[in-house]
Amino acid sequence: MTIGKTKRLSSSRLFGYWMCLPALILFTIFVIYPLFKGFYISLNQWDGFSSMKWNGLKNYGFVFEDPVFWQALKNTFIYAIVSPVLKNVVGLIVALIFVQPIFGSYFFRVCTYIPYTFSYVIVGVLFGWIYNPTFGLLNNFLTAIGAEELIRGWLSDPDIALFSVIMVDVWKCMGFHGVLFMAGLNAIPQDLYEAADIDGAGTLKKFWHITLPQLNSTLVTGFLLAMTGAFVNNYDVVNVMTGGGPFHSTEVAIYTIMTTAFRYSNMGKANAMSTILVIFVAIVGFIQLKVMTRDENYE
Amino acid sequence: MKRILFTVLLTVLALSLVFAGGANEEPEKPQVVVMGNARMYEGEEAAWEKVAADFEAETGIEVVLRWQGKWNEVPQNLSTASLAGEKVDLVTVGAGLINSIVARTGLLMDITDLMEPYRDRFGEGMLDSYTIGGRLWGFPYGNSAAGFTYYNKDIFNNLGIEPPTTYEELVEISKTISDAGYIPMIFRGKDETYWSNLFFYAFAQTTMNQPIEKTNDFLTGKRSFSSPEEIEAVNAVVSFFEDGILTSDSLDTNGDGMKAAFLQQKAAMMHTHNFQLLQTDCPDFELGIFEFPIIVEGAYSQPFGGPGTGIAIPSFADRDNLDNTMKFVEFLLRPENADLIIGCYKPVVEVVKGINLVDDPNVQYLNEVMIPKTVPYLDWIWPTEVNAAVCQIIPAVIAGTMTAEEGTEAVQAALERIQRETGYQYDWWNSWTESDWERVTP
Repeated sequence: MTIGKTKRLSSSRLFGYWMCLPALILFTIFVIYPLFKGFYISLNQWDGFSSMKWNGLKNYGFVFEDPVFWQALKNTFIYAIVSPVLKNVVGLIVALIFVQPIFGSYFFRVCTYIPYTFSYVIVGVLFGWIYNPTFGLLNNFLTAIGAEELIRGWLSDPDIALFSVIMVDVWKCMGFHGVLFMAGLNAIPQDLYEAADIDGAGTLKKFWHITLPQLNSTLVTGFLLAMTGAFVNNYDVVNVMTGGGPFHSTEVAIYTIMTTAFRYSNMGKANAMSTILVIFVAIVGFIQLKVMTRDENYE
Repeated sequence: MKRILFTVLLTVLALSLVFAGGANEEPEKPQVVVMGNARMYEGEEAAWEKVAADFEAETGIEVVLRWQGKWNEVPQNLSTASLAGEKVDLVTVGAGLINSIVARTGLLMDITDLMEPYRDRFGEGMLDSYTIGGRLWGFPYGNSAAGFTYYNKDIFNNLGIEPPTTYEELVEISKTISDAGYIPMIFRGKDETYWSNLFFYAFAQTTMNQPIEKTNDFLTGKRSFSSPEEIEAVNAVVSFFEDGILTSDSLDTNGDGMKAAFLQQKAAMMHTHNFQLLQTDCPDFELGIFEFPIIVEGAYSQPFGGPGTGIAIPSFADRDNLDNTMKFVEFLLRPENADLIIGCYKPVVEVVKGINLVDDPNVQYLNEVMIPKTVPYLDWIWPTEVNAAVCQIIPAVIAGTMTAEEGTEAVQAALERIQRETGYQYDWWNSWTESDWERVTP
């Protein structure tokens, strides 16, 4: 009886493993194998066309000497910090407005969410025109309201170009984060607010002591999603809007890797850059996961 | 039930993996496969299909046309096709890419001997941009042009000004235009790859019209990019901004924005690298063109250009199919067929003999005055990394982020970096081994 039960259990467990096999094979082919293959290529000099020449760790030395890569890595970190913070702050503000019973709130919710369904290419082209100094809505708006002193070369000034690109990403994603926060806000028990009202708490106190703590798990999820995306998902918007310029001021790591690989045909160095980026992202991801998935975040 | 489900899943997975690679099936009838970037001109794809159908009707050889990606993705697509063992007999690839990367990587066939019977089908000097190290690696099949400045004749007439011939005159008319409320000159500064174009024109004059010779010297290590002529050329470009000829409007403007600003008469002049507009595109005003003004006494204004769009044969093309491929090349070069395809480009220069040029008042000036003294764009000679460095340093010097001296040193460093990292050699054809040549010889 016991033996039969054990057999059934192990057979059932085995079946589970077999069911996972297709996914595991695909994961190995499309993730694990390329990871190791990329590392192997990083140890070679290869233009992507002719045969590889063994190069040892030289490509890593070239990467460490390359100021453009470090500039790009710095920009990536700025992007990965500023963008998730803004996406979540703006998303929360949007959610706090839209949970109120205001006229046409469904219409405005849809309007805010729609940009999230656009591709970065479309959004990049659109904002390229909005930022245009001659025809652009932004500078013309600033002129119309008499704020000419605020007019800038939004994509040509190296000091602000990266933030102009980040704002586009924030605008695109604020609807998505707004929806996450709206779900979180709707899940907060109303009796907490009623109790606070009885205690005489004001709007700000209720927000600080009830809303924000109750939204902690949503914040963690939103920040995790935004930050992961910000590390590896910003190539297209940068490529469309600035091409990494002016003078590498908006260049992010993925853009440098793509340029090195496919524009300069230096596959070995590009793969060395990728390996370094993977290590950085893994460290940041590990810290992030440790800090943000503590049990008290979800209490 | 579990067993059945498992077997089905495993079979589907195995089959999908087996067939994912695809098989190169032998075609039933002779084929010529043409690979290239997505066609960029209205009616061009249909024109290619018509020529391919006519060719098949005449010879019984089927032409398979595969258009994918942008023009600058061709090297990547060609490399992928080579690695995947795909059949490609002809590839559309520009002179710039052939010169800067594709030829030296051994992806193209040396077609010097194959094209010998057809050399007289091309306009004078049109094969020069496709000749590297004395060998021919492709042939032009599109338009050709030279860079210059468009101007709005109506605005000029209203303001009582003439097209400038010297830099001082350009500064003076720019002030008049600016005072009248127009942008003096517009340029596509947001498209970083075009910054080097302004440098070419200045460099031609600071080297007393020896830009190609000096560039060869730079790439072979005989001179540094931080030489006085290069620094002076960078400073000359910067002075366009300092003297109010170009304004900050150009910094954030791409190709479409540039044309829109000019066509909507917000800008009185537009500097371009090739022939962008015909009079018929500008119904609201009369269009004129003038050359880059004289900025160095004793030098003459020298345009840069050439036939950028071309066709080549990949080195991995099927040798046994070369006869069919060359039959199709011959067919393409017949005036009536060339006219059908190249006509879509609104050609202004007779790249292939016998094609009809567009009827435009500025085309005659272009062909008579500018084309004879045109030399190839320097970014067709520079390696891509050097071109990228030039394109980055110019806006940086304009923005005051660095000096012209620091900028030119950065370009020199870019060349030294690729020499160190990739073993870049400008005259690569001199270091090729016999087996390298064997790989690209028909």
